[in-house]
Amino acid sequence: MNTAFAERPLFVASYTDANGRQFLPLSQAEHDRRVWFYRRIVDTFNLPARQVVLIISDYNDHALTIPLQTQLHADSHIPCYAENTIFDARRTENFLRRLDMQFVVGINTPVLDGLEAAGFKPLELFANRIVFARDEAAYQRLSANSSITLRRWMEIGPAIGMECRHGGGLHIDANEWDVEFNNGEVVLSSRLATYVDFDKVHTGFYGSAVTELCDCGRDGLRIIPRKP
Amino acid sequence: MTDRYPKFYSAVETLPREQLRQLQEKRLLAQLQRTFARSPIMRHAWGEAGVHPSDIRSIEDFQERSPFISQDLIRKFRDEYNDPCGGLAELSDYHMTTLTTTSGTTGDPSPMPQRIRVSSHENYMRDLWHIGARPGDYMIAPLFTFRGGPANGLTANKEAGLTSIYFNHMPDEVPRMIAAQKKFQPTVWTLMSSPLLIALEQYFEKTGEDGLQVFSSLKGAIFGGEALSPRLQKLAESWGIQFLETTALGDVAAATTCSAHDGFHAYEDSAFVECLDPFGDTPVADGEIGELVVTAISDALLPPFRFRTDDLVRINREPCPCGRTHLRFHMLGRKGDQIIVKGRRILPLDIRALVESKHETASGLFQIVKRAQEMDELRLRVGYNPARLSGSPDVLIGWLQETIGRQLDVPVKVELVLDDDLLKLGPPHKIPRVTKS
Repeated sequence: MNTAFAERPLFVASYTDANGRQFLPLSQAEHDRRVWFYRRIVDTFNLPARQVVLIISDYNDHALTIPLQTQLHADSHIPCYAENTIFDARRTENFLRRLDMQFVVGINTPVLDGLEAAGFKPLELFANRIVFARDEAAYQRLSANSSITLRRWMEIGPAIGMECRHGGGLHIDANEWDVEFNNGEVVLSSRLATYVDFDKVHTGFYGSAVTELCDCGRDGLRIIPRKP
Repeated sequence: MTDRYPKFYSAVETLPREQLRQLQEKRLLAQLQRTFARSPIMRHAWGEAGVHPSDIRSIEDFQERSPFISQDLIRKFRDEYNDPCGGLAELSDYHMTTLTTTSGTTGDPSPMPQRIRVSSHENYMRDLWHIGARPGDYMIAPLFTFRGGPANGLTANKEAGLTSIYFNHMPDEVPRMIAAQKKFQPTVWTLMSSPLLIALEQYFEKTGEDGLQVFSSLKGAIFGGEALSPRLQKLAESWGIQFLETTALGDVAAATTCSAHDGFHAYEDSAFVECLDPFGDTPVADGEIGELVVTAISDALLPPFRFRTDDLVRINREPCPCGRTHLRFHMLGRKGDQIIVKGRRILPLDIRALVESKHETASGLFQIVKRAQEMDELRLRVGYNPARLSGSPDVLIGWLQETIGRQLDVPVKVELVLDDDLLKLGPPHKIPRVTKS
């Protein structure tokens, strides 16, 4: 058996913790568990078949986006992509103008700035869509329009945080992670087999725990971001 | 150590040309049958030309009767029919899994519907294998998302046994790329570009680290975005990096140079390639300048339209010293990038080495400001690094105007801007070399 081949991760992505950007090698099993995490979240929106989904991201987001794309493909949806930079904001506008797109994942502050600099009004552009903000500042800016079904999609250290249809805090995979709080900072430890062991990783992500069960029926706590 | 794997990733790479031609014909006809009904723009264009797939029984029939298509036509179809896929596929078609777009260097990205696996993924695996990547190896992959979903290329990497380490294609990622280089000891790197090489140069200047040592595990890298300049090639060679250059093969596949460094290999089992009169539709002889026209013949989704690429090339069908039988071509520039100044035809390629030869402008970042197809003066916007300025900006402008003007024999007007400002124009692996404003 070629053990060097067998022991390699599926891919190496990255995540941010309290010490900066870290490498994140992911095994096929970890990837597949992430796909299932997304499936449980996306299912709560009851999307019709063959929805075009805009994912605004970059190559550093691959631990989040590769399993999301895999899940969307499996459910017959059509992902399309724009970069999450101020310079590529026009591509986001281009997609929104040309497609009847209900699901937009990953809007962030630089893209909102880029849209405004190009003369567009984000509150109108995203009206009547389900929009996932990638950072809290973007979330707050878009919350001024109540016609936007606004949710959060964030990196919590090596974990994915995503709100379901019911909102009210980021779900985090309770099978995958033990979650603790240290003065508001989320501290994560892996529960299952991972390519890299995570033992009390200080994520640099600050939040408040929501322990009431979510109406979607998922177990585990939810997290609402807050300032340190 | 003996390589226990075959020399070529795919056996088709060395197929005798006669068999290759037969394979192309089979694939073309099969592709036509499979995809014609699924593509609105194909049905529209062929309907207007009075042609039907049943009329096509050979490559010769196809060349004689099939109409052309271009990015302009795709965008026009998209706008006229409010079709986000530009008529290349239909959103309801379950074969389509991702809607991507071209880089949009010209200002308006064109739609490129995809199935999860496209020809270029397989093409690049052949190129990486040719460099020396083997199952179990790591690969540094700084790229961008808009050309395809991140999960798309993963399937091909996985089959080849390569593990990608992903980065944004941004100069500020260079320190992390170097950290990955040391930690994972990758054997290949794709994609390298002018902006990344400039950032690597600055990194090594600042840290004093030895590039040769840092890149010691690399067997090679794929360079793209634009042509590799002699200065940047020399720089990479000083770090021990051998490049294969890559370019899009009409947005339906990829073409990459090989160890012989004598042209881009077009994988002809993926695409049927023609070289035609840039202003007509008659073939030009091998070795003559013509426009590259590409037809997808093995893509899982795209119909086999004759795509006019706007790329000016010279084609060579002689067997390559690397062992492959597939044709090669030399890229001379884009038809739309060509301007005429006082009757002289000028391409960005004619200017780059002159800009790079000056220390202050060694990044080679510049744009031709094209206010009309024919102009009396060559207007250039040239990027410079203020930290390298030895005299005043006016002295630099004077040197550039005089040197470029003398070499090209046209009047030149230069506007200086910061390198960083030009890099922001992106997309990240290149800047638009010709601009209207």
